[in-house]
Amino acid sequence: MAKWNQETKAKLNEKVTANVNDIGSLIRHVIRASKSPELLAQAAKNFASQESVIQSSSETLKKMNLVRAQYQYQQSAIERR
Amino acid sequence: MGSEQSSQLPAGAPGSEIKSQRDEDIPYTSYSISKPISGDNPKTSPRNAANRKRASTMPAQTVSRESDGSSNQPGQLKHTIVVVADGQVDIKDPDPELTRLNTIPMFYPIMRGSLNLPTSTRDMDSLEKLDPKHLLILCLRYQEHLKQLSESVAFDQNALCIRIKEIDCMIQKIMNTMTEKQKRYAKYAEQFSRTSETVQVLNRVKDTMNDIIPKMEALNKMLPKEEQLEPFQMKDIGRK
Repeated sequence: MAKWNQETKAKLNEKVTANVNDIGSLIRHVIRASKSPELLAQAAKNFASQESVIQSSSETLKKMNLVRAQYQYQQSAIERR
Repeated sequence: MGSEQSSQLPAGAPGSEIKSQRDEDIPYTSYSISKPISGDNPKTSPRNAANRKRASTMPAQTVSRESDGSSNQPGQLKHTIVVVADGQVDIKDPDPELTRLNTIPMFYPIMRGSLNLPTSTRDMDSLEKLDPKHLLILCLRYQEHLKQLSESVAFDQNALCIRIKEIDCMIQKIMNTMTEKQKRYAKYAEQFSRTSETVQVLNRVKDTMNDIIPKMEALNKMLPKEEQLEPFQMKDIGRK
C-alpha cells in the first residue's frame, strides 16, 4: 500500500513538473506573440538616443546663462552712462 | 507472550504495586523479565513471593544471585520466555520540509483522467472537456492586453522623443538670437560709452572755454586798439 502511494506521488510529481513547464512555455509564447518586448525595447533605445540631444541642450542653456549675465553687465553700463 | 492477562500489573510496570529486586538493578529489562507468561496470579507465584520476601529483608542484591534464583524456575511450571526486541527508537527528523511534504494527504488532480492510464471511473470527465477553448480565449485576451499596454507606452515614449527634439531645436534658435542680440548690445554699449566720453570731453572743453573767455577779454582790452580782436563769441548751446 505504501509502495503504491509512493508511485502515485512520483507520478503526480512528474505531472506537476510537466504542467509547470507547459504553463511556462505557454506564457512565453503569449508574451512573444504580443510584440510588447520589441516595442518597449525600441522605445527605450529611442529614448536613450535622445540623451545626446539633451546634453547639447543643457550645454546651450549654460551658455545662455553666461550671455544673460553679460546682458546685465551691459545694461548697468548703459544706465551709468 | 501469554495470551491470558492478569488483572494486576507485572512487577516492573510503572503502576504496579509489586516490586521485584531485579527492577532496581536493571530497569529496562524489568517489564519483560518479570512479566508472567502463564495465567498464574503473580501474587501466588512462588518466585514473586520469594522476591517480595527478599525485597522486604535485603534491598541490595547482586544480579547473579537473582539470576541464580530464577534459573531454578525454568523447566518447572512456568516457561519464562524473554523476547528481545528493539524498543521504540525515535527517528530524528532529517529534513523538516520533506516531512511536511510527506504529511500532505493524497489528493486527485483536477483533470482526473490524466492521472492513471488504466481506465478507472471516468465519470467526472466534464473537467476534461471544453477546457482548451476558454483557456485559449483567456490567453488571447492577455496577449491583447499586453499588446495594447506596450503600444500606449511606446506611443508616449515616441511623443516624448519628438518633444525633446523640438525643445532642443527651440533652445538652439533662442541661443542664436541671444548671441546676436548680445553682440548688438555690446556694440550699442560701446557706442554709448564713446558718446558719453565725447560728451564729457565737450563739457570739459566748454568749461575751459568759459574759463578762458573773460581772461581773453581782459587781455584784449589791455591791447592797443589796433590789435584788438573781435569780441570772442561762442555759441552757448548747452551752457547756461
